[in-house]
Amino acid sequence: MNDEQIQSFLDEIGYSFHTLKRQVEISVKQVDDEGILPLWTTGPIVLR
Amino acid sequence: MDNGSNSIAVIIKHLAGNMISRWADFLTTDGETPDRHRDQEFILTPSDTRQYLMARWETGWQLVFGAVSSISSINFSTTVYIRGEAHSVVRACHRQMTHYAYHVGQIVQLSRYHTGDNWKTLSIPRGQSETFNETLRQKQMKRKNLYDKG
Repeated sequence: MNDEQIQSFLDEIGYSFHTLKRQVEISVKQVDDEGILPLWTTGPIVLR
Repeated sequence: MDNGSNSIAVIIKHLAGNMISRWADFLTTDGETPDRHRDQEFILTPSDTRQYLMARWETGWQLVFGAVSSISSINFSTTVYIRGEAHSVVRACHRQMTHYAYHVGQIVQLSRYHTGDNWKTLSIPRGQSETFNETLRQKQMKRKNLYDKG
């Protein structure tokens, strides 16, 4: 890979990581908006 | 969903633990650090408050972004080790990308399940692909026309 290709790869991989992080934030906010708090409590892994 | 399934909190805890281990010294030390306790990432303890887990989550991502931005043509040919296995930088990045995408998909699915009918899709809404494509096509045409005139 030349310098330009390396930078292009890094830009793309960085963008994809940002997208993944954002997808989680948007999803969890929707759960929050529903007021479903037990997801974050300790103890047994009970989803509902 | 059964009781053996991982909650959103557990997946967040696991991803944060993975990121902190893999990316803290991405190019210089084995990505499976001695202080990582992977099995514990799937067990919630009283100290795993939401605030704590989200702080770890943010720390993990900042390490990811910091490591990616530290890569250049100068160090691009560095061999990266994960559990003693040699990786090119590209392979190591792809390994992490696919792993995170797998778990992010799980979180999205769990969120959708919990949110129910109020869920707003992150992608094109079901049954609206044609409308979406047409809207996109029109936007592209408009942009092209502006460009041609300019």
